[in-house]
Amino acid sequence: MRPILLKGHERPLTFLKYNRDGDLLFSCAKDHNPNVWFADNGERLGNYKGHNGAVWCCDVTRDSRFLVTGSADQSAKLWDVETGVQLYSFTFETPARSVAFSEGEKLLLITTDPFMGAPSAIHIKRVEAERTEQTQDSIEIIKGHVGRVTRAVWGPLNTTIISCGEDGTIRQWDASNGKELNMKEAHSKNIQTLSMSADGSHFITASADKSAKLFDTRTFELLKTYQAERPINAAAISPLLDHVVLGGGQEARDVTTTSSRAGKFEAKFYHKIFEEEIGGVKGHFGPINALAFNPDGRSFASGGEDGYVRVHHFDAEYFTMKV
Amino acid sequence: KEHQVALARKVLIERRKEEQERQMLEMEREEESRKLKQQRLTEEAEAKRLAAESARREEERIRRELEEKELEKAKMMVADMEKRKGKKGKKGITAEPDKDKQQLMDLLLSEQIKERQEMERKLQRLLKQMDHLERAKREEERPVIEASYQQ
Amino acid sequence: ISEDEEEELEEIQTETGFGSVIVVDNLPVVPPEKREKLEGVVRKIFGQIGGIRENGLYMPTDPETGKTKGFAFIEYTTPLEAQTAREQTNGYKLDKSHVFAVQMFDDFEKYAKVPDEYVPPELKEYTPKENLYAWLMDKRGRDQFVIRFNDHTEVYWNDPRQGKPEPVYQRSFWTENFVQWSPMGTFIATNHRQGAQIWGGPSWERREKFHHPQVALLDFSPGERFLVTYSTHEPSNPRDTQKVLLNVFDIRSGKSLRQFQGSADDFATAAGGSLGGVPWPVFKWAGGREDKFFARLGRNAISVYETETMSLIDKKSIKVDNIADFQWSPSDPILSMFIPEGGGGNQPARVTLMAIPSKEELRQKNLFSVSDCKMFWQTSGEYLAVKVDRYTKTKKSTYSGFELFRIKERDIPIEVLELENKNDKIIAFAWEPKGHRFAIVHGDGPRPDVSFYSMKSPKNTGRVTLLTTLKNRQVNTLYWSPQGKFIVLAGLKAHNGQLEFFNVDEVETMATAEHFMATEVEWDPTGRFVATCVTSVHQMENGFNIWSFHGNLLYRLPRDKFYQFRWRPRPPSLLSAEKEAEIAKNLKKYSKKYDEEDELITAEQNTTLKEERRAMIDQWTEWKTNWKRCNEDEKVL
Repeated sequence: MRPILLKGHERPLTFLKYNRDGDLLFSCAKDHNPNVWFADNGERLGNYKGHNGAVWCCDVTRDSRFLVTGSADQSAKLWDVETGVQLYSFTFETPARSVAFSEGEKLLLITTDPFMGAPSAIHIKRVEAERTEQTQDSIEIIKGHVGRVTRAVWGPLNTTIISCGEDGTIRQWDASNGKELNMKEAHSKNIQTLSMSADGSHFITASADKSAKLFDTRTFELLKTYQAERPINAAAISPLLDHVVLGGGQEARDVTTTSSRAGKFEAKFYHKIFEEEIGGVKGHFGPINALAFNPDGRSFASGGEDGYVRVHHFDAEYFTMKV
Repeated sequence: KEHQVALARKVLIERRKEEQERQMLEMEREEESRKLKQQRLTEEAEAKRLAAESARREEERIRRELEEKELEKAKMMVADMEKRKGKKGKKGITAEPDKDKQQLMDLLLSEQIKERQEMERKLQRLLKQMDHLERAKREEERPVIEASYQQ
Repeated sequence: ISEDEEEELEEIQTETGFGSVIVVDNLPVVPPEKREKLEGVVRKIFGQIGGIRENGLYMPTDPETGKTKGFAFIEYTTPLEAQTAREQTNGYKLDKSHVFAVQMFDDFEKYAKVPDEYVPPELKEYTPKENLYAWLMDKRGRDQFVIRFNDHTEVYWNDPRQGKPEPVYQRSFWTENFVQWSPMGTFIATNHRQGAQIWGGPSWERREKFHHPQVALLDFSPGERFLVTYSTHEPSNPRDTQKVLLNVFDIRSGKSLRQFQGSADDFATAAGGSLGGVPWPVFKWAGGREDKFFARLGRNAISVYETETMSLIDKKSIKVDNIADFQWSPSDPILSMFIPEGGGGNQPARVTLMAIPSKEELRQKNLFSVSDCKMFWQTSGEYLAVKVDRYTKTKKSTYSGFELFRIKERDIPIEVLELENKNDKIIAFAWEPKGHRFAIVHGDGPRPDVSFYSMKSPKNTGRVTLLTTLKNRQVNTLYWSPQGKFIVLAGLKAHNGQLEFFNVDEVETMATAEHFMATEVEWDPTGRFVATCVTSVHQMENGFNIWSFHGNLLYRLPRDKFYQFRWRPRPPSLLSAEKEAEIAKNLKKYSKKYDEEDELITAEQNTTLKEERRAMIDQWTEWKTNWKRCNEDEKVL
């Protein structure tokens, strides 16, 4: 498995997203310009210039025409994927952390960080078919998460929103009225992110408490726990095999770095059902901050604190591997 | 009046001729400079090619030397291995002098793998032996300990 | 606080302030005119031992007769002097009818408090104690270890066949700072504010308590008969140095047999690893299981105590001017001492061997221009290696060599060993346990060499022989297998945990590995396994790894805030040498049985694993079907 190294960011990676067809990979980093790449050969198509702060998250429509990004510059922007033209900018009082289109892409959720007394919030916006009619208005603003919401996604059938935060909880909200339906203290430390399964039936949380957990999206029933040795920053569920991948590592400043240690930050694969570690992919020179599976499940991408994105296409052995 | 027109016409023709001549001259000059530039470019390219060629040759020479050295080294390693094997009283493979580097390296590698596997087997046997000896001793010791407690 | 501890919440011992006062009884009773003369005699006898304070000698008189009462109080400048005086003068014969009876004033008070009436002790119900040696009889011949992390202390069986350890006993908040196995593994000791406790048997019941407030350190005698405890206390006067208190307990009864106290300065010596100035252990135990002698380094003296009487042998310390360090032979009552140069260079430095209790000098070696010496006894007491650091001619730097003593040979021959490269620093030295070989790490660069030597030679000329030298290794510590033959060459600290598993018999590296940032390496008592760990001195990567003797990683256990890993030691085998030889001869027979047993276990494990996995898959499938049905239902709504 020879990785393709994508060099286009000057700062640590924050988020990775494949489009539905799996031919494009979007990358966000602490530098201000998200990039888009050809997923199979790593060639850069272009970037999206306009943000004035770290970009934390992005999402792309099913038809790969529109991209939404959330940034520390207190805005979330809509872009034309092909031309790189900024179509619209939502502005907030505090940094925008997480963004997600609903199923059908009629709605968009944007989470904002708590700042200077303002609490964290999940804003729901209507996405207008005609860009000229797009407004700043929120249909709903959900408040109630303690501390920063690190990631929020739409639940099955767009009826709920699931969020996770630095308070170690996962919460489920009624998307129609913003009421909290369910709350679970999932981890003993920050949850860094969560990631949905392809069919939306379960999701995985990645936590600084050195574990990742799998929950039922409806009931929040704890299905599986994956124990690691280092804080976990990112996790993803394979759409093809019963595998999950976890990435993380100590902050570079906490690790006694030595030459023999370089390039040893590892994306670890676990068997989803047996909860057992089955392999690892080394290569990054810093902790892994972002992970994403290609929708076809035949490759995955990792983004590191080192500013690199690595795209790995699995060998034949990966698919025949016996656990 | 006609004369004036003819005169004017003549002047015009004259001017056109001049213009034409001037253009011809300019074109010639341009052509000249283009040719010069072209020549310079070919010369430069040739010089570059030559430099590259000699660099390539130099590289080739170094590579050859390195390869020769590696071959020597490989031969030495094979000889070393033979010696080692000989010492341990095992039948060795005879290194043929005409083997090239790749063959020698392959030979070495396969030998090394074999050696490592052999060592691993040997150590596993040893581990088992140590483990079993310890367990046997403890098995025999058990009734002695039990008896001393009963006392 | 547990009930146990509550029950022990006793008042912390108050300082009486009379720790330096002794009471001398059986003095002659004299009239006033002879009083001054007697005082002079007493002052002379007791002043030799230590400094008597001003007005520190008080001899009470009978107000009616004017005669002395036949006893005296003497106050020394330090409690240690007072104790020494008690030890050395108790039983002193002034003349036939006056044999001194000397006591510590504090003890005197204690006895005075003893009620006159006899109160019969409460009869405790007798409960049969568990077999302390049950752990030696594990059916699968496994060994135990203890780990301490966070607030937890856990004992496990090492079970590489299962790829993980098997829990034996776990307890939170078991100890204040540490746990310590007794030398033969019978007990595990814990420390608490009120004292030390020892535990053992299959249910880990408490076997004994040892009252010693603020106990900070423990040391068992090698034969597990005695326990030495240590504490330091803030002095009442802040200008004084720390006070030090030591108890020697009888393990079986829990009674303190001897107490030592003084200032930290009294116990501080030039040599030894210091803990707040005091080297630990303060008392070094003589080798062998008999626990007959223990000794302490003093100023210009070694104090050797006999456990039978808990007092100095011959009632006095052994005077050795200028002594810097001493070690016991691990097998015999022999002391090796290092005495640096004295008399302004007129007396050479020397290493002396002395037999105890006879104090007979067995051997002595004079050494010139010595800056320091370190003594290393081989575990069976056959050899003594002395690393000698000498000044170069310019006196600007030092170089090292070894003096090798063959203790068991006639006249104890000594041989000199010098390294090929004289500038090499000696980074580590270690004897092969029970063997005749030793290893040295030496060099002056970041990648030193490792050399192996044997005290035997091919032609049996009785000369030390160089076996081999491994060049350019990332090594700074040596760990021999307890069985010898194998050694782990470890590069800890600056080398980040490099490990080389080496077979000295075959002169062959079995494996190289890394346990990143490893702080400790420890062989199991049988030499089959090696543990490496990263303790809380590092913030990250805490936990331990278990390796086979030849460097195969068997399993790992990460644990945050990891403080201790200790294999449980084992007593020497009860089998005779003949029996052991017989077992080795018939090993095939045993081997067959064990192979079958192991295969059975592996097969069982595989079946269980398969079953577990099948159940997990079934469970998952069921959940998934359920979820899908729910989703369909919701869609319809």
